Amino acid sequence: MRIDDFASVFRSAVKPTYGHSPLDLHHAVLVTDLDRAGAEALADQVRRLLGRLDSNEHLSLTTLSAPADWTDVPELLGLLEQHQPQLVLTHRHLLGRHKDLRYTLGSVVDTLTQQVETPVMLLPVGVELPEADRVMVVTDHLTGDDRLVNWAVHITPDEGTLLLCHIEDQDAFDRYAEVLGRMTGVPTDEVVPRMREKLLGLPADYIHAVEERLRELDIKETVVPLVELGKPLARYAELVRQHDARLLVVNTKDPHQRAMEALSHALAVELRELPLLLL
Amino acid sequence: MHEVEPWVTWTCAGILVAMVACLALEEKLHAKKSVITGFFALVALGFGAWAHILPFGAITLPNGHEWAMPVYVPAVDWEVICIILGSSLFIDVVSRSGIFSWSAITLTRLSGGDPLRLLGYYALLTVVFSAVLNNVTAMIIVGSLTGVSLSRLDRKDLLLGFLLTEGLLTNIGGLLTLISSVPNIILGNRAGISFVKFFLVASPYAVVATLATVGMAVALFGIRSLPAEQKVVAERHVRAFDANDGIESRPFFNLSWALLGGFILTIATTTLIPGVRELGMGFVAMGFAVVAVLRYKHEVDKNYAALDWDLLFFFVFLFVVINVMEHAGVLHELGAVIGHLMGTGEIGGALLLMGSSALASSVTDNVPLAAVMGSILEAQQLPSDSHFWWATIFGTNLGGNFTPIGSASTVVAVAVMHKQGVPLSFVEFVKKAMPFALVHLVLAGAYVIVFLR
Repeated sequence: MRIDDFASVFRSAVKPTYGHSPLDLHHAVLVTDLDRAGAEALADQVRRLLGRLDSNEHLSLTTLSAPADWTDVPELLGLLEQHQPQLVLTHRHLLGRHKDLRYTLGSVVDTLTQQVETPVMLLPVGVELPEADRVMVVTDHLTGDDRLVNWAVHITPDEGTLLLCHIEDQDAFDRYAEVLGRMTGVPTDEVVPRMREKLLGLPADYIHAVEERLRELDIKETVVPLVELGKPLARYAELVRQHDARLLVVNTKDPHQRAMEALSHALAVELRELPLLLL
Repeated sequence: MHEVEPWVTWTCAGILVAMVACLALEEKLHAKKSVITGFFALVALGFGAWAHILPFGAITLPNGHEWAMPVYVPAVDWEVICIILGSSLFIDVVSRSGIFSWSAITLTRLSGGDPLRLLGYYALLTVVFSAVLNNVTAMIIVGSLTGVSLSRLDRKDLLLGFLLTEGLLTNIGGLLTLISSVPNIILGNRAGISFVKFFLVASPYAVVATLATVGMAVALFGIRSLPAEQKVVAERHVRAFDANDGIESRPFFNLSWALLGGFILTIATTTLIPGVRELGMGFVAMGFAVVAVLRYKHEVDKNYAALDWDLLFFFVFLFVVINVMEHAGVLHELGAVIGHLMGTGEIGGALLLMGSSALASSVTDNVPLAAVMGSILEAQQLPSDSHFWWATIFGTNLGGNFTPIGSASTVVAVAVMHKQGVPLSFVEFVKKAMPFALVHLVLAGAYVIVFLR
């Protein structure tokens, strides 16, 4: 074994760790264009959904209704600047005339998720929201994403279930495997399974670290690891159904583009019946 | 010895000098050691045959039969080749069990991420691994771990101090046992020093030199213990290392410890076990290698592929060249020079021998030097406990610490530095290593004169 071999052995021995931290969340704003009764009903739903946060973090909820409180996006952004909430709750097609368009989230939500640093929770409208006792974290890069997991841990109630989901793109993997198969001197039969093992091993180790840390902190949540190769969007939708997830937690911002991160936008469009926390 | 024309001796001496010069310029020539020595073995054999200095003809076997063996076959010291081949193969197999990475990571975790303790533990690891494995493998293991752990601890500023110290310590650890380095194997075998005797003589020096090296590294590179508030963070960083990660099979892991213990014990007692005594350490090394590869009996080609064939062919060709030099009278002439050095007195002779060996091995590979010196000192019929043997052993091993090309392990240390983004030029290496190397030599000189004379 040579220098690179041993360096790989030692790099592999370094396991990812999870750093749990308190959540600074005591003030949330509900942004809606529903009428007063609809807004109040939605606020009640939010309190039920975020039962744990409401009881543990003493969450105060302010409702900003259109057109009573704001009429356009710049005005809304100004109000949010004044209120400085730690969480914005809203729903699709704000100020839109067609509430049932399936292929878009509406310009207000698109702007909110990209221009405001505050996490945005996208709520379904007209759906009864149960308590978020089964929270699913969805990403294609889970390892080391403490912020994502931390939010999910804080939202999940004690005795609740935390579903940590990491799907590696099967098509991309197959493409790399095919390229390796075209390279002489690379034992493809040996390398490809090892690549799969290491690729999935990292998030699995990270989830193990999350479990260990929660146990140390006496947080009684059941952690369910869901790590696999597959077609991400379709597989996430399947897993949501299989595990009866009540809330999804996803990353929204992509430092390389202005538009919403591709996977979270796709999930937000597809899973319209489910609340999504967009970080 | 048969009469050899002076011009033949001088021509062969020229071939030897040219080979040593090419080995010193190995990097510049972009040629592997085995290719260089292989080329000169061909030239030397061809010239030797043409000059009629080689003893062609059949050899007589112990049972009286005559056998036409090529002249270059008995020229090779097969005992040395078997020790190197067998122990390399054995170590490659057992290292796959994860025992060495487990030991290294366990010590890393025990250090709590404190740089001072980490340096102490890595120094210990380097010396022990250099003694048990070989100094190149030891440097690869400890150097790789140093790169990963200091990056993890966000202390890459300490990389240079750590890697240089480890590189220098490989040559101290390489002095610990008869099989720790190739010069030890060659010179120890020629002198007839047993494994146990070698260890008993070399270990006090190795302990003192290791402590001195670590102390100097702490002072020169400013390696300090962490303040209390930073220890918690460092502790968390090293806790992320999982010592069991590299262990694929727990039974094989345990078996490897047992095999390694058995290997060291058998090597140490080779001269005490009837049968094994006659078969020698080469047999022991090859025997353990064969037992170890049973673990990978279906894919042993991977273990074979991992062997350093350049090194093995280098030794084979080198022995051939030296054998021709012996027949050409070159070693006889060199022996006269060495004899003159030794004739300056028990103290002066030993110091001159050590100094000249160190100087020579600082600029070129110490293996040819050890092979030449082994043949010359053997011809002087020195007793196995002569301090001249030890002066040569210390000189050939420690000379490698003066320059980055002086030993294979310092070459590896510099390679690891480059990989970690800490480039160190030849001159910078010499400047930084010189104080250490001088202290090592002074300590060795004092030890040889005071305790071994």
